Amino acid sequence: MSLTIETRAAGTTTPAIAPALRVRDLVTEFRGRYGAVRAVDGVSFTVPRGSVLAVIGESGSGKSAMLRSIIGINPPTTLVTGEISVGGRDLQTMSPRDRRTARGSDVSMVFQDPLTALDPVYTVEKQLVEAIRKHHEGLDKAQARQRALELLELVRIPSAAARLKAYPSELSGGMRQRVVIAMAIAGRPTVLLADEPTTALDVTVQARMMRLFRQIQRDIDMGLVIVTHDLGVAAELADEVAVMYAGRFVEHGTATQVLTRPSHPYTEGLIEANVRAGQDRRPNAIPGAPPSLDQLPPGCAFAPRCRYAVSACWDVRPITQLVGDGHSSSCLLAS
Amino acid sequence: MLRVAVLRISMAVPILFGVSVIVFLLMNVLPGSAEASLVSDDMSAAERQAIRDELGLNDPLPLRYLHWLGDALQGNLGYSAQRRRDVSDLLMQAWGNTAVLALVSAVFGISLGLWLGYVAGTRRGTLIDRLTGVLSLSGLSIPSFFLAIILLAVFAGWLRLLPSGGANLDSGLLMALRSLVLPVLSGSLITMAITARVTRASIVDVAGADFVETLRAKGLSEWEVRRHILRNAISPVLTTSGVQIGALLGGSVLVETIFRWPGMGLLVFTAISARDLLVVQGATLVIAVTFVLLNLVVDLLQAWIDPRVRGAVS
Repeated sequence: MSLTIETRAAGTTTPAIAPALRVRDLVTEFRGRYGAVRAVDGVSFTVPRGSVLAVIGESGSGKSAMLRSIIGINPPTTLVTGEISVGGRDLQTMSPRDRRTARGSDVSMVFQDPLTALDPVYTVEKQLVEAIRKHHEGLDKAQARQRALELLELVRIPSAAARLKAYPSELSGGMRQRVVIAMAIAGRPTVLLADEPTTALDVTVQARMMRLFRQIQRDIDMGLVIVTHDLGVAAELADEVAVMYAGRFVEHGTATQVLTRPSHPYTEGLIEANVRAGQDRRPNAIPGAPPSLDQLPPGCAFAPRCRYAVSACWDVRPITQLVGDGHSSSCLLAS
Repeated sequence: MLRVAVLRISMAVPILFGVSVIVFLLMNVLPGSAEASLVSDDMSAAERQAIRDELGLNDPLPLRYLHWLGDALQGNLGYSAQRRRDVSDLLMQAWGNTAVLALVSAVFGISLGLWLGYVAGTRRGTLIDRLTGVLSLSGLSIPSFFLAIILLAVFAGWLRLLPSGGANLDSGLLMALRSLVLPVLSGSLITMAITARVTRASIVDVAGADFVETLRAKGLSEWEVRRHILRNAISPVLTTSGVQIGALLGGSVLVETIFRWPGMGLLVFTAISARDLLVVQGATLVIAVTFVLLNLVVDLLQAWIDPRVRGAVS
């Protein structure tokens, strides 16, 4: 079962023949000694160039596993099936060697914790130059250094030339995240994946980081998939929002559709649980916790926590249906 | 880096001073008198006093320390009445022999351990990893003297392939190598085992770090990723290697005695048995200074490799 909704290029994006990222029926299974766990269960979506998809959902819903499957850095015991095409190139059918060189140039990734994402014993410059030369083979060292400097300026690091010689431990968290972003875009990726890129940062730094993502994404016209807990981030940055629960997209549509007219009770719960500045009411947490992925109920995975659940919800796995123009939801009661 | 070096070297000076004080005091609190080997039973008390005066043994302790330190700094550690040679001569010769054995053992043990630890750490959970674990555990558990006796029995006694003892370092490279094989094998087993374990643990630890994921996401090949891992993992290995080399340079009493290797271990062993206090004192000083200098080198190497260490020192 998969979503079959083609997403539209939102806003003022250049029409491209192939979308930045096209994922079809992505399934990720972690195989262990005691059987397999399906972390991602048949997800499909498309991200056009210059467009942003925000994926929201609780911890353990498969968001990170999905990003890792797309870039291809899951542990070797992981089974990933389905189609993953970046700029029209199918990553899944590539040789391991091509799949590896596609990392950083076709698809790049920014990780959650900038404090631990950089190699502590190499200077910023060495790590940047390493990434640059990996994807621009013609460049000599001096040219690569020049390019590293330009990248730091692109991510708006003040006195970039001095920062090149710094070690990661000499930079603040926000600064390090900028370096991580610079490194991720060193190979001019077609699509950038960001796994909660602001969670580990100060609130004031978060807002600046979000603006930076927006600017860079326009600068190099790439697709951006951003995983976040923060609905504010999703509202501000995303063209489209997908809500993930138990390895599936339970709701998917434009940011306005999903965040202002949620169709799935889980989305509704997430919005009510969100705290906004100046709001009077207390946030309502969704009762219970996400289900264990190896013990999913036969019906809707959210039914045990859903305030609207009827008896059918426990028995029938809901199919994904259109609830509006480009707005889909997998809730039995949605219409 | 230069500032770190200057700072670290200046820190070594008071340590060396403390070492000299402790070595000097230890010898003074030990029972037995320094002139015992020079006096005979039929000397009068006045004659004994004269000898003590002549040797400066009646001076106050601090003055005697300064005399001793001044002499030591000039390379004069006294005269061994038993061996009828200068202590510094004896030490130099013994230290040279031990240094050859220690360095060959260290290079052999550490490089083998490093390799085993790397192989095991990068193939965690495989058969190779488990075999390496068994090997390094046996290395830690088998006493060096036991291994030495077994090796002697097999290679010198039974197969008659290698000499059973002695250091033939001046009679050609081949002879030197032949005389080194058995002492090096028995002396470096523990070094190999410890290095292998520390390397494996450190590599496993670093390989799970977040930045390794970033390296993979950058499109680096597995070899390039491993180079990053190794560079990050080397610090604890350096620390233990420093301690290992220090211990080897102190001379293994057991291995040197079994293989009649005329090094520090054998020298100290015979000096203690013969109550040759000046030799024991000199040897203790040399071993302690070796340790301090070696640790200095290890610290500087670490600061050079790891910027975080540099930041912590300065």
